[in-house]
Amino acid sequence: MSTPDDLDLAAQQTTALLALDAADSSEALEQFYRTWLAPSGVTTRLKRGIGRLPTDQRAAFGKNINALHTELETRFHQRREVIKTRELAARIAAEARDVTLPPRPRPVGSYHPVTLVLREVLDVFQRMGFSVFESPHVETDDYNFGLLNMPADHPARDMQDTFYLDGERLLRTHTSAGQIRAMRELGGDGTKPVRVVLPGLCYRNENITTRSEIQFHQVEGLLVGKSVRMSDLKGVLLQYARLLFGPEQQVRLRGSYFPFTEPSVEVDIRCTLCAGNGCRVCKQTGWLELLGAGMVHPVVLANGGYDPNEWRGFAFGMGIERTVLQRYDIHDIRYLFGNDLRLLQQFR
Amino acid sequence: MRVSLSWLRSFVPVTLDTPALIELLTRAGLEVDAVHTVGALDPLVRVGRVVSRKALPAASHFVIDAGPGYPAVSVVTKAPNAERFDVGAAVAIALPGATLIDAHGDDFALVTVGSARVYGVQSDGVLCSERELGMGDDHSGLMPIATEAPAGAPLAAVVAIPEGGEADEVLEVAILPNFARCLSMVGVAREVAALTGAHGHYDVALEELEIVPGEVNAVVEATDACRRFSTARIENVRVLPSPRWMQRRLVLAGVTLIDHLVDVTNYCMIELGQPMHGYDLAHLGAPTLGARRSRAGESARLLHQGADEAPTALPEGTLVITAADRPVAVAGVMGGADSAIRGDTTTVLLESACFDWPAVRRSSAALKIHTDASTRFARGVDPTLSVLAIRRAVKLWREWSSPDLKVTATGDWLRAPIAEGVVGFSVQGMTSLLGLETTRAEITEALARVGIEVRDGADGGLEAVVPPGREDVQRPCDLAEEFARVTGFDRIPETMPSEALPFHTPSRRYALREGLRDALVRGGLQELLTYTLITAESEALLGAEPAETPRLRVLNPINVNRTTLRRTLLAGLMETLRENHRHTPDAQVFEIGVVFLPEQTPPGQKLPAEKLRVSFALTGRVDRASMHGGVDRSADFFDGVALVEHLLRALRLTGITLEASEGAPWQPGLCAVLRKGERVYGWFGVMHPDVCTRFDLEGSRVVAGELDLDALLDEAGTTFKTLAPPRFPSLPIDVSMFVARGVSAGQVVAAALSEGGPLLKGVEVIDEFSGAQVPEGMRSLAVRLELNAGDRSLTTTEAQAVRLLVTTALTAALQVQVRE
Repeated sequence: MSTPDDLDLAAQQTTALLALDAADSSEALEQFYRTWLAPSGVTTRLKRGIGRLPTDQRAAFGKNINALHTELETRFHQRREVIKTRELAARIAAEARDVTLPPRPRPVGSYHPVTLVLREVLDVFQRMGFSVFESPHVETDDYNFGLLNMPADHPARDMQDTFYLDGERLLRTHTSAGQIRAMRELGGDGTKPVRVVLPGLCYRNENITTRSEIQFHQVEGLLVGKSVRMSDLKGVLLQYARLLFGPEQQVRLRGSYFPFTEPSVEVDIRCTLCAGNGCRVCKQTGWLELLGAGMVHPVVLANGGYDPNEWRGFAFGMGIERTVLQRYDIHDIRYLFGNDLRLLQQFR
Repeated sequence: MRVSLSWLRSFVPVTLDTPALIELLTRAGLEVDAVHTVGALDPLVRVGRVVSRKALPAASHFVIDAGPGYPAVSVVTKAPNAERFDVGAAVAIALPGATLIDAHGDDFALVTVGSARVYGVQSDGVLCSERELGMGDDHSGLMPIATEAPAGAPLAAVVAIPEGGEADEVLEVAILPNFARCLSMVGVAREVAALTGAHGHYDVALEELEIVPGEVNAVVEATDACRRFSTARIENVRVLPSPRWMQRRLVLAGVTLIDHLVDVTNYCMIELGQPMHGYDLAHLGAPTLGARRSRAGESARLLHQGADEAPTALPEGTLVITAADRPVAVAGVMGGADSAIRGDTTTVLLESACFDWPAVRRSSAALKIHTDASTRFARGVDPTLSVLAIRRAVKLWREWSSPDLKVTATGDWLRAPIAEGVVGFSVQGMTSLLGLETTRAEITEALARVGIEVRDGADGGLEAVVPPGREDVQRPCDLAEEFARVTGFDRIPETMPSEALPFHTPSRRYALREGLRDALVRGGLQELLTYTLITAESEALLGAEPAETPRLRVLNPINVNRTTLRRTLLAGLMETLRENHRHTPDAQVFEIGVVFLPEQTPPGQKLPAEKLRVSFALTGRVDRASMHGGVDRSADFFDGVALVEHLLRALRLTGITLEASEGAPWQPGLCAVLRKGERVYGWFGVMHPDVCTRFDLEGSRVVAGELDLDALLDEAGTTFKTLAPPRFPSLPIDVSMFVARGVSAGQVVAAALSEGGPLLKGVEVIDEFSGAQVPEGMRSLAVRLELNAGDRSLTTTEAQAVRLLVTTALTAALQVQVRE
């Protein structure tokens, strides 16, 4: 295939450089490479034909052909960089999109808001050393009332409308029902201190309105020891409030009444919405009701297996739903167990 | 308890302004729920300036500037002196919502200002007279206001409210069970005095009347329920309306006015806390009263019943008041209709007793009758009050309606002498309970404010002497509460527990359960919390359990939809899908919750078996088309498989297999059971179309499942061992086969894995089809065998050997026809 013209390296060079200039895509460059520079390309073929040249021309031709190959290779690489850069720019330009177009669908789940708040509360108390203790939803009258210093006909039973299953069993009206169980199970017959939180669903036979439901979640706290003081209750709840609502939080105690604690208090924190300046949610008082609490009543300690002359404790109980409503600005508690997905899906 | 501040001030000086008083009471345990204002003190009564006045045929039409927000209020008034109020003059305007005193009636009635059209003109308020504002008796025309105050200023800030005027503020105070003493004005006044340190005067005018304890004029049989029973027979009484000052106090306290005879008993109850009942002796049928438990079949016609109504049946054992052994009242709850005071009553038998609270609570609850009297008795009434209240009532009657009355008989039966309580305590005990350093002097001073005296005790300690009527104070901790309330809970410092306490002990079940909740949310599901109470009818829509399945029902459901403790979470999930279907047809939801299975309750245990379940339901699209491509795809059975496997993986559970199953509520052929050996963990599948229809989801496909989470948590692992990633690539070998219809893909995979030898690391079903090329009664399956020796590349010969092992085993065990 070798023709005398083949050996005209100057002509070959002109042809090759014209071809390289004409190659304006990666594919065309690839084609150029195969034609000229590949092992099956023109330069190699010319080198192989060197033996057919007169001996005296071989050295010069060899040098020239190598020079040509090197030059083409260098020019090829330069050209390839240019093309690559141009092609990348073209691709980037072509791929650009209107970034405000809607996204692709992506399945996302979410927690019920009650779970979110419940977990946050439990998380803080667990970090403070409290263990989680869970107790049954269906309770006996004894555990829910009697052993908590609320015998039959006690006036405090008016405070809680109860769903009864029969004369003896009921749906617990508060997580306090688990207090006696916790003391009896963990207290080692009144010999060991106890530090637990008791979360759970509670039930009240109340009309369902925007503000009240027949079921709701509570978290009860119980700490029993030999030297527990009311000031410890205040300190622990202050710590809790600061961990959950911020380091500037304050607590205040107000007198209250629960049959199973004495003294009994309501504990308020600085309003989380107005930072204590007064707003609609805190009724301009600057304080929000956090929970009810008190020192465990001696009768309850005794029912839990402790000698009330040697042991003392504090207990507190808080509702979760109220915090959910406040935090997420939900104005109707019925959304929570009504499970309207249009509301719940906002928590995704 | 509705507390009129002017009435309160008659007992104790109050220098605090109303918000400060409310704060003080609230912090001491007397939470103020609301404040009502009347007349001139109502903030909606303002200074208005006349903008224009126009005469109407029998009235005047004013436009009033009532300040910010009310620049031009249109008001029509019939006041004869209207023309004396020219443009710019000041008037007292009550805006809609304000409470005024009805100037037309003689009884003290309150009216709320509204909007109306008067003579065809809009009227959005009232221009007030002196009488309407409670500032005097004049109702002849609009009250002139001499003030430079700008329009909109609250009237109370501009005019002087006269002493004894009727403008007032009323606090609605929530009374906790241990504040029974504060169900009276005197009780609240004593509390205010204790909290403010003010000195109150609680002595009210009493009739000079000696009622000798032990002189009995009644037959008290129910000595277990009566602590004291005092009576007085009063002759020559007259029935008249009460004086206006008494009417006003009663109305503000929320009491309905009757006549002076009855009003006085109510007045004494509000003032002192002692409920009383007056019987018309002429219609009583006996000169004396008795107190006993009712017998079977007895009844009485009560005050709230009409003459033609059947008497109220009294449950046996109800504490009743009798005359001639006939029930004439339910003790402490309500009097009888036949012996009630009426217009011609001349002789009253007055009962003033102290009943024990359990008896009254039971009567009140059984008859569902709650009265001002029963509210007080149910919380405990001070036993020292009964005689005092009689003397007070007689005095009040004599002063107004019955100056000629005569007390002709009295009685005062006591179960036992009334004694003070004595509670031993120590300063050290108080200090260590509260965590607050204090002294004997400080405690003595604080307790004295609530009427408790501190003295030296017998054994070197201290004793607190507690007056009768404070039976909530029985222990040192009760004294500590009184001390802290009076001196302020603020003084208690904040400390941390100073002894060794147990650390947080993680609960394995709690951690695993919450981990599962996380996994399901990560898996794209929405968590639900539904009601524990449902109906048997709703669960029956699933058709999964026969109607006679034992269920726990509440005795007193709040409504017909919340009657029964659930046995499954699925009904609640299906109800949720139904309620959301119209607006949210695509839903992937789950719930973790308890169900109640009474039949599984272990013998001898009182509480029913509560089982933790996890349930899910998927309906509508799980994949969605969008402008970027993709196609809509609805949830199908294999989305359920994926979810269940995801769930089992999250709990690190292995060895649980999935087998075809059937039964309601599932669609036949699209249901699986999860089991390991004999233990069953639950079912999942596609809901039967009939079930969907019953839940108003006709035409929807619902993929759902419910698993026994207690069982899963029992076996769940918290950790597992990983495998090192293979250093050499795995070799895939595909095997196609015809499989008889009765043989499942699961069986093929299990057989291949068990017989494939150590080089076979995995088997995956990659294709299934039926068609013309497939022999009758069979289908074609293709599986991909994944081979790896771990430490080297496999040779073709080794791979072929594994393939042969697998195909031989499948042919022998499952009679498959391998296609080469």
